[in-house]
Amino acid sequence: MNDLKFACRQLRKSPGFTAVAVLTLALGIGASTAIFSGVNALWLNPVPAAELDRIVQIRLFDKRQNSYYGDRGGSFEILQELRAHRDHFVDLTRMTYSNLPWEDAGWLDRVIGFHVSPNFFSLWNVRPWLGRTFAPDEGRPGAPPVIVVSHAFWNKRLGGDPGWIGKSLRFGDQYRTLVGVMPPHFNPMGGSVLYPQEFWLPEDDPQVGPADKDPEGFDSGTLLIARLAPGVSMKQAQAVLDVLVRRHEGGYRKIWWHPFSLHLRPVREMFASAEVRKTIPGFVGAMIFVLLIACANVANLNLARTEARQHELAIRGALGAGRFQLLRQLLIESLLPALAGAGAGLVLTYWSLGLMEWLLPASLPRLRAIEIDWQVLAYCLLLAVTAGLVSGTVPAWYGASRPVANALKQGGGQATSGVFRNLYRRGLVVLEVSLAMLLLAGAGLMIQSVVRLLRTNLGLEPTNLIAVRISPAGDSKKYRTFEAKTLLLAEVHRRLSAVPGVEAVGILGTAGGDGKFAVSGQKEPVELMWSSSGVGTADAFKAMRAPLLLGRSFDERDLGTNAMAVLVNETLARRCWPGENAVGKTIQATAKGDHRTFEVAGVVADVRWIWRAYVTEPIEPMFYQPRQEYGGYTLFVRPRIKPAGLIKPLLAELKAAGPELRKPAVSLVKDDFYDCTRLHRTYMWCLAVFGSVGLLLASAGIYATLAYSVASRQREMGIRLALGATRSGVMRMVLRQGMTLVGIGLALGLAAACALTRLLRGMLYGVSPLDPLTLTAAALLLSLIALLACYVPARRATKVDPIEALRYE
Amino acid sequence: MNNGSLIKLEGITKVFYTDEVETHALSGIHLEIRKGEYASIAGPSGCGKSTLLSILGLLDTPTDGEYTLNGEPVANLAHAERARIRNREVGFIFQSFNLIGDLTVYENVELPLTYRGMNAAERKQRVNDALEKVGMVHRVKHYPSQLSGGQQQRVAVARALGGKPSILLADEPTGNLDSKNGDAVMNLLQDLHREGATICMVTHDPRFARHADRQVHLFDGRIVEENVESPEISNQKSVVRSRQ
Repeated sequence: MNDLKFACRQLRKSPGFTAVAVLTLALGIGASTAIFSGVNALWLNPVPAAELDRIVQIRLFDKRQNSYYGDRGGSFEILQELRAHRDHFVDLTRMTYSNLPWEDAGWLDRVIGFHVSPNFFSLWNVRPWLGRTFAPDEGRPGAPPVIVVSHAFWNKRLGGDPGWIGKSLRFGDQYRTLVGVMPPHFNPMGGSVLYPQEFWLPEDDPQVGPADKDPEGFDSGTLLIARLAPGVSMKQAQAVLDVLVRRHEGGYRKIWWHPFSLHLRPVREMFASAEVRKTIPGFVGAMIFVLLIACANVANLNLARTEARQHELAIRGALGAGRFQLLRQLLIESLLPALAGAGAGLVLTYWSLGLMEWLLPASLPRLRAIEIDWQVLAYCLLLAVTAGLVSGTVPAWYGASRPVANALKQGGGQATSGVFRNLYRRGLVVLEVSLAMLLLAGAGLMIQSVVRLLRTNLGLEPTNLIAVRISPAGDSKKYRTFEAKTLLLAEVHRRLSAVPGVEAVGILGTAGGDGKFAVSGQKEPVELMWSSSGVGTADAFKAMRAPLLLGRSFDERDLGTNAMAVLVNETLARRCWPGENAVGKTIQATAKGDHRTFEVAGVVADVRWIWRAYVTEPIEPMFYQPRQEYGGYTLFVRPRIKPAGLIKPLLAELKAAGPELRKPAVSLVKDDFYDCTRLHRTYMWCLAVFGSVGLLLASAGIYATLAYSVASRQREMGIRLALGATRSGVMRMVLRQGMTLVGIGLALGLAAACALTRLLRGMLYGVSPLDPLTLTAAALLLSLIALLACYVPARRATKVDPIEALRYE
Repeated sequence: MNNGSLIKLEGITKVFYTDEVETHALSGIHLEIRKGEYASIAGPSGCGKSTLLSILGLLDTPTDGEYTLNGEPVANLAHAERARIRNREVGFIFQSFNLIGDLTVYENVELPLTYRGMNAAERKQRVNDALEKVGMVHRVKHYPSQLSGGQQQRVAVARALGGKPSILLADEPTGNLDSKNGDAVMNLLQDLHREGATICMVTHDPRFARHADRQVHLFDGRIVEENVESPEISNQKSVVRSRQ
């Protein structure tokens, strides 16, 4: 207790030291804790449920394609079978994609959501933001229709009014009672800005029509989650699934993904997606490096303070304090600023929570908010103790081990020379520079990646290009026939093209597909994707300004059932007919009953489908048909004027052309593209912040070390000046001393960067982990800042008055 | 008064090695101090007085020779054991007082007792007794910087007394004091000696050295002379030898 009291008094007595140590550690601990809170919520403990290791996801595995089909987990019948195996599976829950009509400002909109088992929310252990979730009997036939909505739905469509709880909401001709609103972060299946998940209905809701169920028993987009019964291993549960699949195999022979099997995986992996996992090495590295730099800085401060207190420590030793007692005293003194730093770091973490939530891509599946919970607090405390011990142990050991008699003779407050102490101090500077170099290299590579990502050639001219997504094949029977859709699209095209300020309107089918095709010149069938484009003035590529590389564009003669002209993208042409002219080559369907042969009329540039796949994904070989009967379309509107002024008239014309259209989703292609890069940009910002903090702390460390060195060598400087040294010579000497350490640190940092930046490879785009330009730029920036940090104490050294310095002792 | 042997040095030498140069600070010191004895060690600057006191106080170890304290050999003990014995058996009084500036008078006196692991109630009793003995009980909440030199040295004496050590080792206790305060401290040591304390004092001032029963003179690391002032001690044949 006395040690604690004295330590508090020491900190109060040296407010400068205390403030610098606390702030330094606050930066290090705060940055690490903030990142940990995100990593914890998204990766380490993504599900707030108890006994998380026993919660599993059951997924369909397509044996023919040798792949999983998204998150699909099987039919309602399989669920019922699993429910019969209560000795193996308990708390079974299922989620199936659904949508409901919603009237929004005169448009018939469609909101996307899920049918879920009533225990869906309790399995995750997630509480609603408002109201309640489902009661167990609310999924049974005849139960009153209820609905739980997302926070975004409540905010955007209900004005964020809590009074809606318990009231009826109208969905087309159905009414449902709103019983709960989920928290903002609740997004179990991920999603996108364009297609957010907005509601949950209890499964077996009487108003779910049979049309929503696949007659073959494989509901689309089903998610199957179960809790393993106590004592049941994954292996045992998998064996039960294998038996189940064999029993039902005969019943599913018509299903296109047959043969299949059911696989288990820990539900944790559902949330810790590959994209999130790619970011972990960089985050963990940055966390450790920044914390180590902060610790090195504080260790330096602790050492200086211990030196200044040698006399006091010697007195304590003379009075009978053993090494352990002195060590304990000094460690408590280094732990206290670390704990205070952790407290301040928690404040920084708290401030950064909102920023992290804002930076996170909406596509990440999540159940938990990024928050300060007991795990984050425990981590912060652990960091504080570690930082206190790391920064305090060596100075404390040094202080407790000094010979008492010598220190008593030397009197109070005198710093003594020592090889170990100097080596330690210089070693800390070298370590700081090395780590700062690593951080800057990581940040630099990510900045380069994002710059290159944003300069990605999309194959089109995105500036001002407006994308309007329409869905004519919704509930309205009016647009279900080919002729009706053709008429609708023609009318839409005519009206939009006539809007003043519109240069061109192109139509691109967004509902395509993939499959194997026999391609001329290729022995084996090739996996190709396909879609459709408008013809003539509705040519999507012309509106997008996607270059036609070879051949011709579609025109009116390409329409009709006998016309088989297709356009292929550059990737398909290059992959299937390298070095050859693709025009005139053929692509033949291989599906059962489909033997159509298409002829390549032209080659268009690779256009990235940025609203469907992440922009960093490789471009697939693709061909486009001049057909327009698919369900969804994107209209590309190329304006002559600024696009903001066109949105309203375009919507008005769409409404006039198709009063029963769903509400179109309108966006700028450039914004869509920018949104696609969010994960990379978030990562870049985090590493850039870590790099800046590392640079700041390292330069402070260099400055402090040199300043201390100059201050303790005043007499030496005085003697040198008295003996005829020039002031510039003294400055060069100090600069050389500092920059030598910086040089060693840079060399070590560069070597470490060469070894460690490959851990970032998963997040890099268009840049090598060993990019010489980035590494050189990082080294130059660090050198420049380090030179500035050295310059100030070096200049101070030249101001030493020889007479004063020689008198001083 | 118990007059058994408290300290016994036999053939103590201390050599410092710096940059390949050997400096013999002490050479073949033989010295015995009995319980209740008041000895002074005098000599010119650099003769080894402080080194001898450091070895006596277990702050330093001899290069060679035997050191027995209370009948136990202590010359080659481990650091922790030396710290423990120092805390329990030795009370230091330094020339520059060596009070810790960040601790109050009370806490300074209490400090060695906390290292001993003594409970708070007993510590309080001991601290108050010691401060009362040196007349500083009214200054318990003051910091050293708020006291005069004489007062600081009295606090230092109280700190040395608090642990009820076997011996008080005083290193030039009046060196930083004016004559009036110096006399007061010497009188205080004299009083303690009369009450039975064993004291070994290093001083270069013959005036203060004469307060001791026995005066040992060092020169170039060797004992060159010994004067016995007290007939009582003389009769008990204190042994002081210097082997050339």
